[in-house]
Amino acid sequence: MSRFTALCAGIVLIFMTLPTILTAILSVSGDATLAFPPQHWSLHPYLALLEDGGLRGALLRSLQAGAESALLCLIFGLPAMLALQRLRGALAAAVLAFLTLGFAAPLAVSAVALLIVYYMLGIFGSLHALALALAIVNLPFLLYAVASSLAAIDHSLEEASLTLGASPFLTFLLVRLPSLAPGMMTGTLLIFILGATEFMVSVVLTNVNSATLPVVMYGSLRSGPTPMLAAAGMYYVLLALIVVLAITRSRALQQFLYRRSS
Amino acid sequence: MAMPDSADPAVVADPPALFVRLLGIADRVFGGGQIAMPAALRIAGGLLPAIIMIGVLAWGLALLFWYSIHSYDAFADQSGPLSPIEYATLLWAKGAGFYRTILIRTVLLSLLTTLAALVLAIPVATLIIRTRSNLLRITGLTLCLVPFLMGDIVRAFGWLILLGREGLYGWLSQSLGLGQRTLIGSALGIWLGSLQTIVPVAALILLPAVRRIDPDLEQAAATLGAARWRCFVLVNLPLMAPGLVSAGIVAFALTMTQYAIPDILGGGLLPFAANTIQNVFFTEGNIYLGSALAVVTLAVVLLTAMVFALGLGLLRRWRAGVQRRQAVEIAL
Amino acid sequence: MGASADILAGSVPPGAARPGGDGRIRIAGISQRFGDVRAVDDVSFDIESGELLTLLGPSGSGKTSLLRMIAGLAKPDAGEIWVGGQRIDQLPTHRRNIGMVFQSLALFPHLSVFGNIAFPLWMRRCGKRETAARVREALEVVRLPQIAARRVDEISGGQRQRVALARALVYRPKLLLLDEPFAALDAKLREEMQLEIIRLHHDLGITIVNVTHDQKEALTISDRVAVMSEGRLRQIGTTVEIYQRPNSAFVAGFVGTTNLLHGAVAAGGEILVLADSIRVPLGGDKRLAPGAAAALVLRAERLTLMPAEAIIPADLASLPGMVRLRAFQGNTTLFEVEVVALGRSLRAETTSLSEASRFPVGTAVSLTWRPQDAALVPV
Ligand SMILES: Nc1ncnc2c1ncn2[C@@H]1O[C@H](COP(=O)(O)OP(=O)(O)O)[C@@H](O)[C@H]1O
Ligand SMILES: [Mg+2]
Repeated sequence: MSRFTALCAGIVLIFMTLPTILTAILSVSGDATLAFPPQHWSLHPYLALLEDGGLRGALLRSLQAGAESALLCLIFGLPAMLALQRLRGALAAAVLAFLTLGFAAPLAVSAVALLIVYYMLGIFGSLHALALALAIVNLPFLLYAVASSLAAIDHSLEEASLTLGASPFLTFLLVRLPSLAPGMMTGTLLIFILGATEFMVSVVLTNVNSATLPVVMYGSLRSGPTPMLAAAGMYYVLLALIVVLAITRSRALQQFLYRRSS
Repeated sequence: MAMPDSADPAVVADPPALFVRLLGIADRVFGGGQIAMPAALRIAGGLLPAIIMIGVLAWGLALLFWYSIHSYDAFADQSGPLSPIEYATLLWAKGAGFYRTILIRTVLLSLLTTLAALVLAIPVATLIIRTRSNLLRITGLTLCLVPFLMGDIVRAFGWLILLGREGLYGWLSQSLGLGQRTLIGSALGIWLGSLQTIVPVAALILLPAVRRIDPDLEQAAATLGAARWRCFVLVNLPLMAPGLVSAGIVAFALTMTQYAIPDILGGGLLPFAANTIQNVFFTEGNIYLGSALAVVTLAVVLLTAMVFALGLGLLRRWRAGVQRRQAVEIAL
Repeated sequence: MGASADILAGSVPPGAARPGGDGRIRIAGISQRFGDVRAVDDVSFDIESGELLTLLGPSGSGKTSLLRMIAGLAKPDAGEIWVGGQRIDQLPTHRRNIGMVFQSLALFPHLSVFGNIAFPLWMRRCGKRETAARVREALEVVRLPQIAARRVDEISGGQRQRVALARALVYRPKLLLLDEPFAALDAKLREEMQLEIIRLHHDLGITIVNVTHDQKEALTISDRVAVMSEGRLRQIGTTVEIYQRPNSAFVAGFVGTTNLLHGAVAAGGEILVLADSIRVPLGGDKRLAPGAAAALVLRAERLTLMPAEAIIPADLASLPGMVRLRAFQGNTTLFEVEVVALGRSLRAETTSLSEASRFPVGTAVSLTWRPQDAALVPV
């Protein structure tokens, strides 16, 4: 790698981090309105955010929707991927294409499509329904993460387990599942945070009672950004940072990021 | 080649004895997992729940399409007969210029964003794969993944205070005596904001492609007398081409359908397709026209993906042709 | 094939069968095909309890396929497998109570060394204390120091081999299957592990089926060897039988450094006529009918070089040649001698340094051998 490449990469990375740095700076502003540079410094925005019932509720709803969607993906996606692995050829490709519909269709389109169905089913506005929508559009992340773990599986481990006297059931629980655990973890964490920070689908599928934090932030943004919003943003940055550090420490992410077939 | 070290925490947890005992009981209950069940039934059983879940979306998309090919009876607020009128309104009827402008703006800005993102993603992906320092690799990955994961609104918020009148840009321009300027409401602002979303995605998709390139190849090319830029054009770029195509497809699709960035950084002045879909759906309340716009957006994304993929196929064929001709020339 | 294999099957040396063991194995007419490939083709043989049998053959000859069918990891298309008087080919793998060491070792990466070895005991619902005791005992059997708490990827290659062995032995199976577990080791370590297997086999008296493509390993560690190629059993017998009385050109060529001289039997079976009407005498007891096509098996170490001008004793066969290559290999020296009359080179090997030094490249020599040292195989 040449020094030139490294320099370019550094500049690009700094450019992409600049808005976040600025958000961090303004999140400790003691001013009433948001302006750069801040005239006073204070931790007040962070505390005010937690005291503000509306924002705190929205944050909790976001986390709940993210967690529920991750759980749904795991429950529905893992058996699907295990079954899919046993299919071959055009059928497997067709099923996979269908299950990754959430990636093929633009979020803005999926959001209104789901809205129409939710109205028909009478579940519009429910937080669980939002979680289902987030699970639908983010399911591919779980499928890909599990698939990369599956591709890295050493089948002789399962055969060894059988020769050692473990039944197929126990072999699945004690050998196959642990080998898939890294992929499951990466996928679930990704879907959790993507769900908790999602905006497009959430803004269409929530009402006043179920609005998640990004939706609420969007609303307040139109009436003028405040330091409290910067603090709310920093909660998300922190959450993303924790998730990233958790998954960059895992072998699964490496399987996923550096996978053979792209 | 610099392979990422496995940074897996050294946790080896042998299951506790009680757990093993419980599993043994479960095992007996389940008959060792050897319940006689045809393989087809097992596969179907695994797939069905997920298929039903995604079926909700497929159903919605089908309804969208259905609405899009009907006219809208605004007076009775109900579906009119089967007709291409919604597409006409969007694309070729008199007065369609409004929507055409939006579509063209969306496509052009998306193409510009995609191109820039691909160029910028190459050094980032190269750094992450090739660096020998684990810390640098993790830092690079983190700086890519965090903006990707923190969500549209937080990203848009960051750019708002970077490019806004009250933000860093406004402050800098005022300090320089140029007046309190802003990039909010400009195409440049949208472009910059989009890049922050798209560059990390493109870089992440490029990682496997860059990893497949053996660094020895560059050194080999250098010993054969290729200058660095020629080496990049002749060795790295062709090897990265498939990765660049996938990254390009995803980058374009994501930019094409952005909502928050054009809305917030465009100041409502430069709507993209997604903003207009929302507007038609929720402000005008015309789900028929909105559906047609959604279908057109989807079609543009799919068509572009196909063109990209086709282009790659042609490129490959052309290269194979050149190599064959060279082989023939050498043989003669 | 089955019939001839039975005839050629050597008798089991009396010392090999141990009383009390119940590891007799009968492989009867086993076949398996993958599409058009006959991976295993009507293979039958018996193994005595306590015997160490090696399946030897080139890569792709069906050794792994056969082993996997014994373990129950694959189903035979035809045939029966019996272990200790019980037919097992319908049993699922986990009920067979067979130990197997895989080529990849297949140690569980998410368990410690202890967890790996304890795994089969958990499956057999051993108590906590018994499990610990038996794991410790198994580690002692494979002569491993205190490493029970380590991760399996923290220990060395040789230690991993021993852990895999301990895991396959800890539940005292009647039968141990080894699928080339040493193939990936470097030469030194491989030799050490081969000796380890001999020692374990002697101490535990367990029946072992070992798979390898390394003829040297097969000769080193086995009581008997079964040579396979293209899914078929070519010959089964003691190591000495396989080496000294190969039944076919294939077996002769696969085991040892061998020269094969093709020709036709003449003069009532006393003479082999080679190319260019060269006649060499045949010895030994095995005769083929005059006129039969046959090949003479000349082991490199049974060929002796003599100066071209020396008088050759009447009881030796000989061919004139010229040294083309001499390679010092430590304990032996290898010669390549061109025999113009045959239009090819033969290989000879000597352990004597003084002899080796007498024949530099370019020397005219006579290649000699005792007719009874050369086996004759039909082709
Ligand atoms: N699962 C399989 N599918 C198709 N062909 C196979 C399979 N397993 C083995 N074979 C074929 O069967 C033959 C024997 O293979 P194997 O038993 O692995 O040989 P060996 O272990 O002696 O090298 C080979 O030709 C191999 O290609
Ligand atoms: Mg094999």
